[in-house]
This record gives sequence, structure tokens and C-alpha cells, in this order.
Amino acid sequence: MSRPLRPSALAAATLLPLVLTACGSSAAGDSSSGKEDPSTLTMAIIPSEDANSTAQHYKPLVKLIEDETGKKVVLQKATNYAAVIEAQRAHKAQIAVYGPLSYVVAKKSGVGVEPIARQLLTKGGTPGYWSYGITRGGNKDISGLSDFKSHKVCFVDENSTSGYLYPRAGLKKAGLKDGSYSKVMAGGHDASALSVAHGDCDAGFADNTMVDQLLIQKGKLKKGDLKVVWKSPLIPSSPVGVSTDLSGTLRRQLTDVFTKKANADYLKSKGYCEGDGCFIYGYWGYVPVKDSDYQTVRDVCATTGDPQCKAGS
Amino acid sequence: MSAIDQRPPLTPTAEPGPTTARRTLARPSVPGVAAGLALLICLASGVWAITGLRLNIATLVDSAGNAVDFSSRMLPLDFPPAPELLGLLWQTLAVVIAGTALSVVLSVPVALLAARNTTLNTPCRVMARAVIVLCRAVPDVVFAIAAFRVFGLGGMTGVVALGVHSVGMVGKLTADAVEQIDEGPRTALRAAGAGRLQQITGAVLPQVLPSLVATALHRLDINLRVSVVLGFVGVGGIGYSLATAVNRLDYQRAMALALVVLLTCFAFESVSGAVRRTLLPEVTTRSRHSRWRGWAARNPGVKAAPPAVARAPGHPPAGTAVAGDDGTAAVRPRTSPPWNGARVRRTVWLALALALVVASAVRSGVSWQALTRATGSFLPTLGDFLPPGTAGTGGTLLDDLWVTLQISLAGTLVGLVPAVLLGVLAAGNVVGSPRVARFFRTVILCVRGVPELILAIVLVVVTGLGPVAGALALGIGSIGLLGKLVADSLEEVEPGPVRALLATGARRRQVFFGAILPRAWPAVLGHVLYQLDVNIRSATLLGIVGAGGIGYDLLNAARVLEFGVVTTVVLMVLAVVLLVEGLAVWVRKVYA
Repeated sequence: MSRPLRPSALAAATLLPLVLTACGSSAAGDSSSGKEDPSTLTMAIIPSEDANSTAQHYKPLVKLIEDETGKKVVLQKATNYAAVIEAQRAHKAQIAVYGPLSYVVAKKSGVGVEPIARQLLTKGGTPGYWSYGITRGGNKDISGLSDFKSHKVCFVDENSTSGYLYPRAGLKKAGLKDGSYSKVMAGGHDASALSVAHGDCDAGFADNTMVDQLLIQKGKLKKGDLKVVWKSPLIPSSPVGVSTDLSGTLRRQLTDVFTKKANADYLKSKGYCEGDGCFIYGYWGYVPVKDSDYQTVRDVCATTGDPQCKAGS
Repeated sequence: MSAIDQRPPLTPTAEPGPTTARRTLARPSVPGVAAGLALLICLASGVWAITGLRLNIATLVDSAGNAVDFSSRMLPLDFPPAPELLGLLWQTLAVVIAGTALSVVLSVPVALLAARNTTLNTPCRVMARAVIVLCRAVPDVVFAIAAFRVFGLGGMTGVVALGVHSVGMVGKLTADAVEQIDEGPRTALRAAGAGRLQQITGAVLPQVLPSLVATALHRLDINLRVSVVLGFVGVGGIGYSLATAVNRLDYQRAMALALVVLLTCFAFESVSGAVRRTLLPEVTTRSRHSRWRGWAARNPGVKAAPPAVARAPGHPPAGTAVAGDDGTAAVRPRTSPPWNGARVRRTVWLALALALVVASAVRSGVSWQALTRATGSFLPTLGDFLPPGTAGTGGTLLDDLWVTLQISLAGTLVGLVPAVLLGVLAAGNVVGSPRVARFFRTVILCVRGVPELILAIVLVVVTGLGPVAGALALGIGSIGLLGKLVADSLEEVEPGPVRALLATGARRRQVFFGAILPRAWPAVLGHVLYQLDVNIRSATLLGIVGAGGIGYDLLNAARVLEFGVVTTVVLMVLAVVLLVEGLAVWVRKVYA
């Protein structure tokens, strides 16, 4: 061990990162507006169902966008809407799959986002969904929202439209004040429904697809494990937002891809996938959208006066 | 921290020592070179991770605008009304204190079984070490998720999660402390015919007590910051309010709460210093309270300090019941310490501390009913987590593990520079001026007070989703822990050589390079590897705020109740942590 070398070696080793970090190209996007034509598109999503097969679910769609635009598409998974909103605000996510409320919040808090398409569950169906108030199948005590009083109630997440906002409006209408039930944030529609089924919550909320189909298809629940005691008004379906950083041409191109080609039929015909694997996260595809479609969400926000509706303002 | 140390000197650059023919440098040995190589590989991976994540100035510059934007969104800070805030604070503190107390209770027997000199037999020791490693490798969030299924919502979940996970640190350090005790008193007791248990209570535990208390207090600090993470999975308190605030983008409230957590951490630190001084008068706590040159006793920081017994032969410290018999059987010596003012004060403090623990346990809803209810659902819950599964995503998991490893390597390397610099400046025996050392200690403390999760949240907002935010958060977090550890191990260097060099008229810099660094660097190296180990486990948790890596898969799997996947992820992280741990042990053995 040569003593005199030791300090210098240490110094060299410690200075290395400084040198390293000093060069190279940025990992964060530029914030130049409306001109961008990046070679990589980052798509921020929240897997709202079986976390672990997200990549599989989105694979055909990602492949389609890559083929159509000639760009690489990277999926960025997030656990909550707040992260998606911030990713788009920080110019890190050029494409983001929002929920109706998180889209409204993002727009309101000044994120440069433009809606390009919204989800459609079944071909030719209504582009919207419902929130269900649920309790355990055998639960005799709860038969409507007013019975949620002084029970433990599972919600999804504070920025969830069908998992928080509409339910809160519903509870308010049923005459339940804040604090007359205990709130639990389950973190996902599936987790909320399953928590109710497992008895971790006495009652809760989740969207209709989760309760009626997905969990049963996946064998996590049997028919009759959950009892639906309330159905919300129709909620406009989730939008896909693109960043206004992108050039107009690219945004139009993405709009076309989503509204004309991103659906199970087209994906199947082009051989991107087979059978049920062509459903994008259980949805058939996308339809055109405009900002005013989400006015109803803004109205519900106004009735509940929830703080997350006022985000960033 | 590289193989350069292993090189044989080409030219004798060192000052020739006294005229002896003795070789002053160890010959390069095979293990030495191998360890050096392993470290070089680590360093290279870190470098590669930094470049791979594109963690560079350009990224930071691009994020500067976002940072400005963020600060405008978090101001003015919005504090909740005082009664509500105090309620939240007490809720959090109760869980933290009760959890830490639980970890101490669990750790002592485990540590005694895990220490080479007190264990029953080798299989027992291996088992105990395995338990400790397992507790450390399983993130507290996972324990919290499991505890939820058992205890449901409430403080109990947090207490159990913190308590069990903390055994990983408290148990390990206590076991190390037990292995480092002075065997003298024990041999004396054994010679006098004491049984195994009597030896342990009479000669082992009293020696370990200072380091146990210090470790527990340090863990209390860590747990306070960890409790923020638990808030994100639903354990009530400040963390939970913070999580909800972040989720609705209410940064004014979130950052206000973060500030409260920060201030609480500072308060903790000063209280724990006071407690250490009161309970353990025989261990001088901080060097900064005395001129460093006359400083002999060590600060029992994270590394277990050898007990004061070793320093004062013939003067058993208070509290050690040594069968005092100096051969003259004329006077029967008193075997317990006298009730002087100091002992009364200590006892009062001890009673107060116990009262606080009890109050915390009550506030956290620790009760027999909860425990008995839990015993019924314990096995089914365990069944949920077994067998490990991948839900058909083995490939994704491996990719994400890779990202996690990248994040932690990059984070460690980024934190290394400022941590070593600050650590050196905070070591009293290096800078000489207590004021300067104290200032830098405070800087380190400030950094340490910020929970990594809050950093990650801020950084996700500033740099957007992804591993860059995670690596930066870990880098900043490393400064706090590693800086402290570096400063401590520099201060723990034997004062003898330092004094010798000073006596020959050496300058401060010469003293540092001649007497302090050569003795401290193996410890520093160990700390760096420990930091890497810590970072791998933290990186796993940063997925919670979208910092990428395998933590995302873990949390999501838990969210959708795919507990088999949770187990798989934990096992993967465990394997990596064990590798790092093995490397650390080996390197220490080679260089010690």
C-alpha cells in the first residue's frame, strides 16, 4: 500500500462523478413550446388493473405508434395521477393517459396538454363509464349510499374521477357530511374493490368495468362477492393528452393514429396481436375528443368543492 | 476507494522512516488485489450508471426552470391549524417511538444469538444473522402492507412495520457491539462461576448498553423519516396528510408538512444528544464538546463504540456489577453504584423515557386484543405471500431490478463527493476548530433531516418521472448518512498517532493525511458500501413516487394484491443486498 498515493486516489475517485456529470445530453426534455419533434416519445400511464402485465397490454399500441410516427415510444409507469400530471408539466411525458378528473386538474393547473382521443370500451358503445358504490355480497346493513355513514369506506385516489370525485358528490347528495365516514385510499380501482370484498373496508367505490368484468375474468372475484348499491351518472371516458411542446404536425399525426388506428379491429387486421390481446387494457379503442366533453366533470367539481379540483390555482 | 492502494510502490515516495531494514509497506496480496478489483468494478458500474441515466449538467440545467416553477407553487407554505398539526405530529411520533421500542425489544435476543461470542451454536448464529438480514432486506413498506392484512388500518400496522424492519439495523449493530466487547469482565464472571445468562446480564449487556441506546436513538431518527413513506401506504399521521396533499398537487400544504417533519428531526437530534449524555455519562458523546486533542472517548454513533470499560482498566463503569475482589477480603466492596445525583437523574430520565414509550404504545393502539386478533390471521397472510410468483413478468422484473441498481449506484456515486468533503470538514480532529466542525455537522444534519421520499417527490416534480429523480434523491440522501458516518469514523481515529505528528510540528493537512486518513479509510470504504446497500433498499421504495425501478412493480403488485410478486421482488432485492453485504464484509476483512 503506497501511502502517498492514497489521498490522491481518493481525491480522484471522488472527483470522478463531478467530471462525469459535467457532460452529456440532457435526460429532461426542453421546454420549447410547439416546435418539438423528438426522436423518443415518453408515454406516462397508470396501470389501473393488473400492474404486472401493463407492458403486455400496451405493447400493440406502442408498436403501432412507433410504426406510424417512426419514433421510439417509452412507457413510463406511474402509481398515481399526480405523477403523470407532473411528468407532463416537466416536459418529460409527451403522451399521457389521464383520468377525466386528472385531465381537468392538469389543464387547470397550467400543464400544456391537448386532449387527442378518449377511450371506448366496446365498439360502437358509449365513451364513458360509471362509478359503483359497492359492499360485500352478504352485507345486509348497507343497501345505499346513506348507509355508508360511520363505516370504513374505500376510495381509489384523490385524483380519481370514478373512485373519488363522483362518489363524494354522490355521498354529499345522500346527505353524508365529511367525516361521517372514514376515508381510505386504496390506490386503485382493483385494490378498492378487492379491499371491500376481503372486508378491509365496509364499503367502497370502483368503476363498473372493474366490478362487472375485469376482476371476475381474472378470477380474483366471483359473481356475487360484491353487491352494487349505487351507480353514478355517466362519466366521460379517460382522455389521452399530448404535450403542446410537440409540433402541430406531430400532434395531428398522433390524433389520427389514436382515433383511426388504435383499436382492437385495426390492430388485429395488421397482425399486431391476436384475439383478446388486441384490447388495449381491456378497452376496444379510442374516439375523437374535445375539451368541452369534460365540462360535466368540472360541474361535479364545483358541487363537491374538493381541494384537488382547485389544484394549482 | 480503488485498487491503486494495492500497487507496490515503484519509487519510494514516502519519507524514509527511521533507519530500519523493515519493509514499511505490505506486499500486495492476492485477496488485496482481488478486493481492489471488486471495488473498481463497483466504481465503474457507478460511472456507467451515471452516464446511462444521463444524469448530467444538461439535465439539471433543463430542470432548473421547473425548479423555479415548483418553488413558486409551494409558496406560501400552508400549515394546518395548530391543534390539528400537533395531533398529526403526536400520531406520527407515537408510531415511531413505539415501533423503535419494539425493535429494541426484539433485537436484543436476536443480537445475542447472532454474536459470535454469545451465541448458543453455529446453526443458531446463522439463523439469527439470517433473520437480521431478512428484516433489513424487506422494505418497511412491505412489512406495512403485510401488517395491514393482519391488523387492518391503524397505528399498530405502522408500529409492527417499523419495529420488525428496524431489527435489521438495531440487531445488526447490537450484535457487532456484542462481538466487540472486552471479554475481561465476562471471563472474570465465568471464573467466579456465573452461568451463561448471568454472564450476559452482568458483563455483556452493560457493555453494550451505550451502543444500544445510541443505535436506538439513531434508528428513532431514521424511523421518523421512514414514517413519511408509511403515510403513502396509509399509516396515519403527518406522512399520510403529506401523501394526500401531494396527490392533489397541493404543494403548499405538502411542503409545509415536510418542513414540520424536518424540524421534528432536528428536535429529535438535540433531544437524543441530551438523552445520551444523561444516560451514559461514561461515554462522552460528541467531540465537539471538548477540545479534540484531549478527546479520548468515542462518540458511539452508528458504529458500535468499544465500551468505556476498555479505556479505564480497573475502573468498572457505573452499572457494571463486577465481582470486585481485589484480593484483600478485608472490606466487602460495594457491588452496585451509589445513589448519587447522577444516578438519580439517570433513573428519572429512564422512567420518563419508559412512560413516553408506554404512552406512545397506547396512542398507536397497541393492545392485547389487536395482537390476539392478529395471531389468527397471521398464517393466512403469510400464505398470501407464498409461493413467490411473477405473474408472467419475470423479464420486466429483471429489467426493473437493473434500473433500481443503476439508480442506487448512480445515487451513491453522486452523493460520495459532497459526503466525503462534508464528512472531512465535520470531523473535529481534522479541522481543529470546533465551530467549523459544528457548522458542517449541522449542514449534514440538515440534509439528513429531509426524508428521501420528499426529495424524490420534489425531484420528480422538477425533473419529471423517471430514474434521474430517484438517483438524485438518493445522492442527496447519501450526503446525510454517509457524511455523518465519514465524520464519525474520522473522529474515532486513535488520538495517539495524531498527537505524535502534532508533537513533531506537523500541519493540520499533514496530520490528516499522515495520521487520520490512513487509519480511517477502511472504515470509510465500509461505510460507502453500507450506503450502497442502504441506497439499493431506498431505491426500491422510490418507485412509490414514480422514480422508476423495481419499487414500482413491488408497490403496484401490493396494490393489486398480487402478493406472490411482492415476495419475488423482495427476494430479488435481498439477493442483491446480500451480494453487496458480502462484498463489504470481505473488503473489510482484507483491508482491516
